[in-house]
Amino acid sequence: MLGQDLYPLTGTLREPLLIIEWVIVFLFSELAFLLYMRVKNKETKLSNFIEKASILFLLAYSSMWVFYIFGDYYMETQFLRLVVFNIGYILRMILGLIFIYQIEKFQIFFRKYLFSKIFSIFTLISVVLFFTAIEFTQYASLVLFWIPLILIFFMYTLKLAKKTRERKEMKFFKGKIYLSILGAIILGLGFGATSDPIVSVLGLNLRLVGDILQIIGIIVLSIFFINLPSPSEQDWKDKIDKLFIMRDSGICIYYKFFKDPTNTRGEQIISGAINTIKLILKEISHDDGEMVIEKEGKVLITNQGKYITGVIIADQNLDSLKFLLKRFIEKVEFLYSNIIRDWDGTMEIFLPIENITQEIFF
Amino acid sequence: MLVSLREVYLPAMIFSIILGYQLAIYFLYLYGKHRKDKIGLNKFLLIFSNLFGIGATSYLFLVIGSFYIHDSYLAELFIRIGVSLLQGGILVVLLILMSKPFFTLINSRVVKIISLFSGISIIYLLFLYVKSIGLFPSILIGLIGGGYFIYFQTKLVKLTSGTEHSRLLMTLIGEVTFLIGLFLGSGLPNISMLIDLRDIFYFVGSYVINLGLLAIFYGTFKFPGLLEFNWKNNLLKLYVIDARNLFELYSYDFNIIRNFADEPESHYNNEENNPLNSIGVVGISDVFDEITKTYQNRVKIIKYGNFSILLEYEEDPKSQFLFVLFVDKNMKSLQLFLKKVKTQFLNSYSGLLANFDIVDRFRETIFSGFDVILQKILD
Repeated sequence: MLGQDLYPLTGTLREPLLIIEWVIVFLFSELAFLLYMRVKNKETKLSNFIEKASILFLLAYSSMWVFYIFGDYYMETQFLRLVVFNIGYILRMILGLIFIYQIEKFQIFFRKYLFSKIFSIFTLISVVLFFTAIEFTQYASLVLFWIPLILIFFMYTLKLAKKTRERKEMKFFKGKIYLSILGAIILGLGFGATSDPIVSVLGLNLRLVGDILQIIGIIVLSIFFINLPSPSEQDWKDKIDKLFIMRDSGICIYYKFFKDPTNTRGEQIISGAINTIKLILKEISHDDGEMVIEKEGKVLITNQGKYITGVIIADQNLDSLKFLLKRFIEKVEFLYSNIIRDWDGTMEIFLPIENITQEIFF
Repeated sequence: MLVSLREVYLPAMIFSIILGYQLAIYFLYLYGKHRKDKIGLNKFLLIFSNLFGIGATSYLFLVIGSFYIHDSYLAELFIRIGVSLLQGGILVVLLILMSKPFFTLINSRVVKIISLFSGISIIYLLFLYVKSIGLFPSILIGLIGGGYFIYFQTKLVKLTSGTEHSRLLMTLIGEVTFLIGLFLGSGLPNISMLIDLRDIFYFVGSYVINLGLLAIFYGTFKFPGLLEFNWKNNLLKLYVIDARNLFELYSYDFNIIRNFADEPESHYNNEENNPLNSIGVVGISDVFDEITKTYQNRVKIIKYGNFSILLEYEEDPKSQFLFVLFVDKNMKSLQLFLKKVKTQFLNSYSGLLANFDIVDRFRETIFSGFDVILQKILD
């Protein structure tokens, strides 16, 4: 076994390394807990699977480090060290399997549950190696655990990045995905620097550097996870029902029915009714402002421009929809402000607004 | 297996210190975020920030002094600084408690006495330390100060409801656990009779402190910035409406309370006897149902400009009574309050409401007695 003389770790670097590695355990567990608190109140399974999968990854990483600490600092023989590590490896493989299964539940890579099946076989191989050839498990874990995990992570992340590239208004989300990739790379480099082959050649100083890199990596990943918009915000396209633009008088100059495009009736009645609600509220408050009417399963959002009001009727109150509506009204007013001010009643002049709708909402 | 005692405590110590600093930063951030709202009770966030920040620093000094310094004089100095820092943290808390927003909730004389003793304790620890007396008196004063703060918090918890209440309660339980751990780890080992059991106390104490911090961490997760302490000042008007026959059964103007409390005026139009305020809301709800062609659920919230309207219905969808609350800002506490009002109103007048003739003839006066019940709910 490479570098066996190094273990259990002693010397001046023992204490600093021990402190930093317990900090790693703490930070990973804490992030897993924070994500769990975010996920536990969410209703739809589809919208939070990536967070659940991430919780598993973080817990696996954190628990693995506990085993590394016990193995590297407190086990006096190589055999005991390997036994402790292998218990950790098997636990990690099980958590890794659940992690991959969670991702593949809602994302298909080549074939449904392909990676889960492969990983199950790898888990079995790990168990067999534990009982038959324990000295090979450390190297085997590179192939059996890390390669499939990194592969699936990158494939999912690239898929997500491609999806957001198609939706220009979500550029900020694309930036965060790249941040997660950066965090994962730093984490990977850090972990690699603490591995036996590297440490045995370059010494414990590099292990210290590796630990610090892992802490940086987890901080970067934390920024990504904590600032991640709710996955339901990505599904705004499924939630939007109707879109209107009205003049102050309540006349509808543009409408779009997303869920029932063939239904071309009633837009003036609806916009008139919305305007009546606005007038009632204006009378109550003697003020003007944005309006949100909400009930379970339906919401009405308005955005007041200088000359027009935009209205969205949707299935859920999402920040994405408010953002998109604001942009939409700004763009329409930019192009049509002169026309709206002196409008003669011709509706055909507003037909090109469809292009703006296509640009923003499709 | 190579194990030194301090390596057994190490995970607990690291977790406590990091978590302490994280909580301090988090509360400071919350305080800064809501500072512009000028709600005095938000200083409670500053108290927490101080407590955790200074507490974590104090613990750091105690750990370094206990485990990492071999020179006995230096080790004792670090421990004294650690304990005085903790004492200082409690003193800062007590001084903030003496500020205006908390005046009605504290006994200022008791707070002044404890503050004085805390100050004396700090001076003693830093400049007049006597080895034969030791740390125990200072730790005891610290525990009394901490205990009073917890007592104050129990009063604060009673002001809240719903999620707020459970979060503050969880934090309180965490603090009590933390104090117990602190006493076990720092207090008891300083008693000469128990000196042989020092290591056990320290071990148990450090992990109990962690448990306490975890409970505090859970309780403060997504702490709402304490705005909901102020929920009563967001109340504008309450209406109980017969939605079927379209008339107002009861109304209450909370602006009377606002005026007595010298609260800033609301943006909401305070015109009296404007039926649009109440009946108009019924219309909005019905029109919205028609626009969206959804009739199974009812409108719960209407937000317009700088005010919101909360609606509460009876369980039976065929029922005609609607409870409407106009508020400055929507808060969970206000939604809970409206639910309580609905329950109380229906319980108080269930028999009467079934008799439409009487209600119709005397509706101007028959529900005026609900003012008293409403006051009780507010109190």
